[in-house]
Amino acid sequence: MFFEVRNLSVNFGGVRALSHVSLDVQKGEVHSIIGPNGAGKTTFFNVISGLIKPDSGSIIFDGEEIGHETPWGISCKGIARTFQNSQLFITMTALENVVTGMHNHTRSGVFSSALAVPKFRREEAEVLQKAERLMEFVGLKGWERYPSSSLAFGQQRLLELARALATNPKMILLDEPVAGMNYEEKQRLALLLVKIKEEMDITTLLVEHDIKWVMQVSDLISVLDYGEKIAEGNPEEIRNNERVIEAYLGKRRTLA
Amino acid sequence: MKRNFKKLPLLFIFILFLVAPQVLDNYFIYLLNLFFIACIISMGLNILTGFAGQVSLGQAAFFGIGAYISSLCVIKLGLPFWLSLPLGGVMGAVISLVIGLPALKVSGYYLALVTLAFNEIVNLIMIHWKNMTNGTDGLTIPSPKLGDFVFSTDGSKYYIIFLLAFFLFIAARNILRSKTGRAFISLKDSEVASQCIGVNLAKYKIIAFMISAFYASLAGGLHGIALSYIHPQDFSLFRSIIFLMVIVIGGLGTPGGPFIGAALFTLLPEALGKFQEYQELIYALILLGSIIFLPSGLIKLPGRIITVANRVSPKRQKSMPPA
Amino acid sequence: MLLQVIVSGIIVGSIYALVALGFILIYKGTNIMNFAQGEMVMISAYFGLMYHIYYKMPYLAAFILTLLTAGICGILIERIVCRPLLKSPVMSVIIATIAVSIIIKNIARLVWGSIYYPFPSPFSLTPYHLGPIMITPKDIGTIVITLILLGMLYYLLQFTKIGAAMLATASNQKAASIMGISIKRVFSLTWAISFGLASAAGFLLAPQVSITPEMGDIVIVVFTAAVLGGLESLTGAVVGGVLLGIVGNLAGFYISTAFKDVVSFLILITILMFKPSGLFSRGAMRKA
Repeated sequence: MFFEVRNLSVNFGGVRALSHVSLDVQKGEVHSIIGPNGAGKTTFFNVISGLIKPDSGSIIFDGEEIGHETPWGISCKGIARTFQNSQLFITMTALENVVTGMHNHTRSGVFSSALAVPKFRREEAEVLQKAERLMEFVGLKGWERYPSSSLAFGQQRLLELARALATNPKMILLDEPVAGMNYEEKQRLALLLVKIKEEMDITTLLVEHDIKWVMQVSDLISVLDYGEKIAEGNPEEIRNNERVIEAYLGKRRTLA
Repeated sequence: MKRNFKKLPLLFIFILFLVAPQVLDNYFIYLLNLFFIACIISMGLNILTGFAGQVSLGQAAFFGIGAYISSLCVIKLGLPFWLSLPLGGVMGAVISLVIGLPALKVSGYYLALVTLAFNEIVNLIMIHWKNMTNGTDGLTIPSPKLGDFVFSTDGSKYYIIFLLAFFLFIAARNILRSKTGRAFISLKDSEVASQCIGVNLAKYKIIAFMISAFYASLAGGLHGIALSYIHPQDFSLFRSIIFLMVIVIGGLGTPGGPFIGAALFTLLPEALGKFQEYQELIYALILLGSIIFLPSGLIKLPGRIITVANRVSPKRQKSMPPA
Repeated sequence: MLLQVIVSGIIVGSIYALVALGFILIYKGTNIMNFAQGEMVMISAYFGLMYHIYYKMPYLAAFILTLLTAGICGILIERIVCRPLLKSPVMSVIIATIAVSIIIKNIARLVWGSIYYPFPSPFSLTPYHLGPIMITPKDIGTIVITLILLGMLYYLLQFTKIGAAMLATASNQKAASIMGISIKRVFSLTWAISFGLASAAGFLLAPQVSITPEMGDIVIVVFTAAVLGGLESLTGAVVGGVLLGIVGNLAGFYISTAFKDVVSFLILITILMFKPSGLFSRGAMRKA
């Protein structure tokens, strides 16, 4: 199994954010996580990317236990992510954001940078080229020199995706990737996910509220509610699952 | 061909400053020396605070460490200046681990306090370790020598100071345009995203501290050379605050900010002349004013004026790039 | 002898406690670390000097008037400096309060000069002997006044509506404003009270050290006391202040007076490095 989560639990001073969550993801799969607000989806992502340490349980990626790794360690292992509220580097241009994503694949240290040795200059040129190609891939060609904060919200999500892809990951975590996008943009992103799977051989784990879109792009869907996994299956199975419908439309909740 | 044209203004400035001592009055040369020293500190602090986003009220301590170590190497060990200066710089960088390591655990206000305390402790050591530093009597420093040549005039010292400052400027500019510089900026803009991209938070925070300490220490060594006399009072907490002021007023995190700030810092005491005693007060008022009204610094002032002017007379909308 | 050192430590510590308390009040209430706290102490001492010596008012009247003037200054600073910076990054606020401290110090220097002004205390200086220790009525007066002020603050916070509003704002600004509490008024009041506490400390400190513009430099001890107590705890600040008074005195007595200063800084760095939440807090909350 490519990516396994076993019995993951996270408590915040008495509040059970995640409770014994287990998940399996096959290589190359597009696996979505849905659930009402507050179900623990973003916490789940935060644990996987190393920003929060789990209280119990294990996370195994490509055979290695990564539950207690630092965020940068996890990036080195090949997991990249995007964020729910845009975490772009706002003082940088769009291109610089993507170039920064290649941080772990550039070798130049402080001294070779300071002295601008030829090796450093070559590497900078390479990295710039790769970044430009990535921006084209996600559909942002032409926006390279613009300050990243000047992009529209939907474009910013695409930029975060490009930046995540720049780290050369084996798996990406997308936190609400289509939030703020219109219909065309959502369709384009759906096509992009296919390309990412087939051309780049990257596994995708995503969290999203747009159920229709999720049904369209996913191979497998897991449903969280109150920090627990209450259902898992392909889109057809989830659509008709009683517990899922109850979680979303139940008396205490409003529609997601 | 394009590349050569880009470097032209820089070359021009370099030559301009190179020949300056030949035409200027001694007093102005002395001022320029102080200006370049201020530039070095500002550049270092700009990297730390403006680009990596780490607050430090301890830069004066490193300024002093560099000054004392470099001078003592000359006085007690007989080392030549071109060894003692970098030695002071390296020592400063090593000692910066003392605040670099706590910086990994704390930030913001807490970090400000740690660096403040550090500065005060170092200052107290300078005052009380009379055997080494001569305490409050101050230390007199002999002029630097290269073989038989003695750098005794401001004009001769100018070349040591200017060349080192220029070299450090190029280095700083290169660093900021590299992977390291991007790592710093990413840390400041979004610590969370930066880590998830693979930036080793701990490593880069420490590198930022070491670079700024290195710069400040080198500047300290030069300070000793320029003035031929150092005193613990030059390295007090108040100095640290002025250093911070200087880059904030000039423009934090901008490429040109440090130089405007350094110019202000060097020229203001001279411009005030008779009103010297109001110096601190005026600095503080300018600082407060700029924090409240012009938080991005003086360097953005022309830009701000242009923006306001544009609002008054609307221009054509910029055309959008291809989709 | 040891006991004497400790007792004097408690006395000076109670003055630190007042200042630390004011400092924490501002931090807890408005999330600002006020680097100008020491200067507030100093300038209040000068106010006291003006009222008591220059205008020849009786001690008590001068004391109260100083407190009031300080309160007004607190409100002014909050309005002029803090309001515009409510949404600014931490660094701007740090720089702003530092700038304010420098401005106040220089105003003092320019108006009154750098000479030492002695300040009398209404309590006599002849010591009583309580067993092995000597204690003067002035010392007792210091402790009594401190306790009275602490008591008044406690009463304000626990038993009045205004106090409840302050505590509410300190723990959750958004919720407090939704409940109809005017955050702006609470902020102004917080600064006013904090400045008032600092002014009382200035009044009590003045007879001991004589008034100079550099009086505010004791503030580093105050920061340490505040951090020691845990920046979220008011009682912690008081305890921290007294503790530091004792420790400082002990260091000064057993090692050297120069070391007295260093001790505070060393304690500060150590705590910030190993337990930034202070000695009295329950440990950092996990970020959700």
